[in-house]
Amino acid sequence: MLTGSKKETITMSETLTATQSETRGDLANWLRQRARDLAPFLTLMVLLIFFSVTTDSFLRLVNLRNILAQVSTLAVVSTGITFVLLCGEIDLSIAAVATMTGVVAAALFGEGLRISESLYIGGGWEFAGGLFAVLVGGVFAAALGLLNGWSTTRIGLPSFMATLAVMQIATGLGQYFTKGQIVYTLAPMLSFLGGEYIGEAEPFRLPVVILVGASALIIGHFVLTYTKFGRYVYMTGSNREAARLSGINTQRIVAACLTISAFSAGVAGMLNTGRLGSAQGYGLEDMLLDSISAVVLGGTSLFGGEGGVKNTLVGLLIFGVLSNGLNQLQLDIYVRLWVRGIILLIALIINIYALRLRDRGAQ
Amino acid sequence: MSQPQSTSPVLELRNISKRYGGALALTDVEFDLLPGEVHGLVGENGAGKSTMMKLLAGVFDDYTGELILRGEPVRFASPADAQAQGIGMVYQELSTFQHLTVAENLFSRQPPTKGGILQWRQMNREAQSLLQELGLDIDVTSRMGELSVGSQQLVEIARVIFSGATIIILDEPTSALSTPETRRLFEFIARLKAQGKTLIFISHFLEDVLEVTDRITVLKNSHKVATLPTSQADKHTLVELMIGSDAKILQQMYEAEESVASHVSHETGKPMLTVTNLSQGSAFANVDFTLHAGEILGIFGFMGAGQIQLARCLFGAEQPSSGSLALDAAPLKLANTSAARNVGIAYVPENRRDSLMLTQEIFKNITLAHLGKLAPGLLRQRREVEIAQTQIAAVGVRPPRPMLNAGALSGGNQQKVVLAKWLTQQPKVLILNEPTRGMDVGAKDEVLSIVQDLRTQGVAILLITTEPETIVQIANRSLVMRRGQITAELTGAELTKENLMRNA
Repeated sequence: MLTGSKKETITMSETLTATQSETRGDLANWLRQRARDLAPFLTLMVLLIFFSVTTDSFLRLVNLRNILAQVSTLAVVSTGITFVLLCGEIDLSIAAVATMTGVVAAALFGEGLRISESLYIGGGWEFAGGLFAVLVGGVFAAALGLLNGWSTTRIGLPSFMATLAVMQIATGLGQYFTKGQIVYTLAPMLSFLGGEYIGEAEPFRLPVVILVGASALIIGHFVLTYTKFGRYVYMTGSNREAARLSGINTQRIVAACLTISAFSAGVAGMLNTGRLGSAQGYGLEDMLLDSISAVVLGGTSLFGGEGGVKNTLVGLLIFGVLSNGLNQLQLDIYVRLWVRGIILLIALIINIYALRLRDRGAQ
Repeated sequence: MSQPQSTSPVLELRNISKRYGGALALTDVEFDLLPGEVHGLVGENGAGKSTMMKLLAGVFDDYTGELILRGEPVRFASPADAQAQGIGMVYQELSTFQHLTVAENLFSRQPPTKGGILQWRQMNREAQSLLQELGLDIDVTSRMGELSVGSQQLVEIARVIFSGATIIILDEPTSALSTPETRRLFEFIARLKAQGKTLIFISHFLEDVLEVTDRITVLKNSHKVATLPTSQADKHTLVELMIGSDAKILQQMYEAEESVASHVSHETGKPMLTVTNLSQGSAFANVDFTLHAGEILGIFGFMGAGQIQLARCLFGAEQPSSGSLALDAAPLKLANTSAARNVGIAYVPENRRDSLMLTQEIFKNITLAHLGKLAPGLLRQRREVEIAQTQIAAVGVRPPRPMLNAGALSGGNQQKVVLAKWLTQQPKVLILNEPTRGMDVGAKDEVLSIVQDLRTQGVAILLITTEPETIVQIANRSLVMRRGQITAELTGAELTKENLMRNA
């Protein structure tokens, strides 16, 4: 009894001192804790202000809408890769999977269309056939993701190598299906999602692809924040052995993340065909580096456990604003690319310093 | 080979003291090493063996007292300095390059080159003749990783000698060796001795020390207790010297508390976890025991006795190669850790690095293990924090703030969080690995009292530790493991520190 009450008093007094110091160093502490989120946000703000001041065209509503549309496809694939980075792995196959899936869906639809025409079924086929092509495309992408997951967890290949191999498989399949041709017959659903608008009057015409990108981000955020699976992803990335020794099947978590990543890459690839109006076996090579840089720019750790879709959103915006802003500045195209690289590097350095600041504060 | 100067010590420590923070790790230690002898160094965990070893290896130089090497006072500035003066260390964790050849390992510090080009043939030839000189028949072109641990160790010793060491310190050299490998090492040591080398042999394995050394120095609580010729020592006297009066005090404590305390009440519950003939490769073999509800069963053994692998097999983190398990009289097959968690087995790993997500909030750590049961449907942070708060109060985590990152807590409080994580659902079996290692006395007592409460509630507890005090303090009975085998089961009056150590 005696020891019990003594323990309680200790606890109470400590709680008191804790709350006191909490209010005192509150703001500084909060800022430090949020360094991972704040540094990218500040970078975004600085870029926004800079381009608003230096160019006339940047701040126009139409241009801002363009920025969003430009990063929307990237948003879908970045959502997926966020899962993979959070659990401490990497997926190099996304761009290739995206390309291949776009081609597969287009080829399936084209083939279906040909058959239905020869059977005189005609237009009735279009919606169902398009849906079928898109679903099969999604399954195809997810299957490649499962292959990534299986070789990483069951076989024990580093995801870096496993996804590199799958990248080649997917690239090869994409070219095998197209034989270098460009496929122009697309499921109408994809043309709508990737390339059409909602609304009439010019400043308020909203590209559908923005809605798709936003939906992907929202779903990703929801899963990571409010489901047990999402929690396990963070915990697996934070300390895999500790997660395993807490009874979590970390292999399954990693495999699931790689599958999600490939699936979202597939969706992005199909959206992209809709945006372009055609499918081809090449052209998406930048997607891999773009999406990983966007996610890391937003503050998600390459080593897992920290970050999230909120960060990815900020990273995408930094990326979009930077690319678009440099266009508005009308820089020479040969200057633009390396300038963009340098600015990305600076942003990443700022992120790292913000984290060091936080970690030093924590000690 | 009898030389007149052979009686004067090759190395002496005079009045050496070393402090780590507030605590003395060595107190006024006197030590002398005669040329050509094999000198054993024994003592419990924390007695000062490794501090003394580091001192000789030049790892630190902030000590008081004098180190005299071949009649000259010296102070090593760095490990390289100690090495240059002829002191060679062979650590327990071998620092070999696994993917390089034996010859490359032997020459790793100064490979023979001509104009910057590595002279492979010359290197292999010299390496082979060096090993032959030392009487070792090992192919120098084979990769280090292909050799057995025992052979790797011999190569490492050869490397140390090759780099000029005449005094060689072996840290726990036999702990990872099989019996024939140990024999081979002892033959090698005898040969080195015949060649005039001087060796310090640090070990927990008293039989090995008794067999291979000429003299033995015993350390206890940072003091040197005795140096005696091996011919006058036996296991019993060594153990007594090592634990000394502590043993008697503990014995008395135990006798006084017998009627109330732990060991007595053998009115434990039904068999909860039955382990039958469990083996895993070279880690452990033919382990048999039954753990009852409401019982704390200790497993004592020195590091590397196979106890960690055994524990991991009981939690599905590793797979045994043969044998069977039963939980609550039903056969149990653990494909992975989730399976173990689901049937009510809880597991506290031996190091804190593997037990918590230090960069995540305390509440997330606490709800992790049983998240499925604690949060049906979607996660709600407020509900999770409430659960965490209850748990934090129950185990006494300080400061009691669930939103803090787990990394901000002290070691003892981190361990309480690990326990809290498993107590959100009452476990049937709780496996504790080194639950109090590295904690101060206060935190230790708190953790142990939580464990004792759980026993009262009927949890079956397996307490695996290298600290005999912990077992004597709270276990009902204890098994002793030595090189993968259970060597003893101690209970009642037999459960003493002395008996634990003697069987390990």
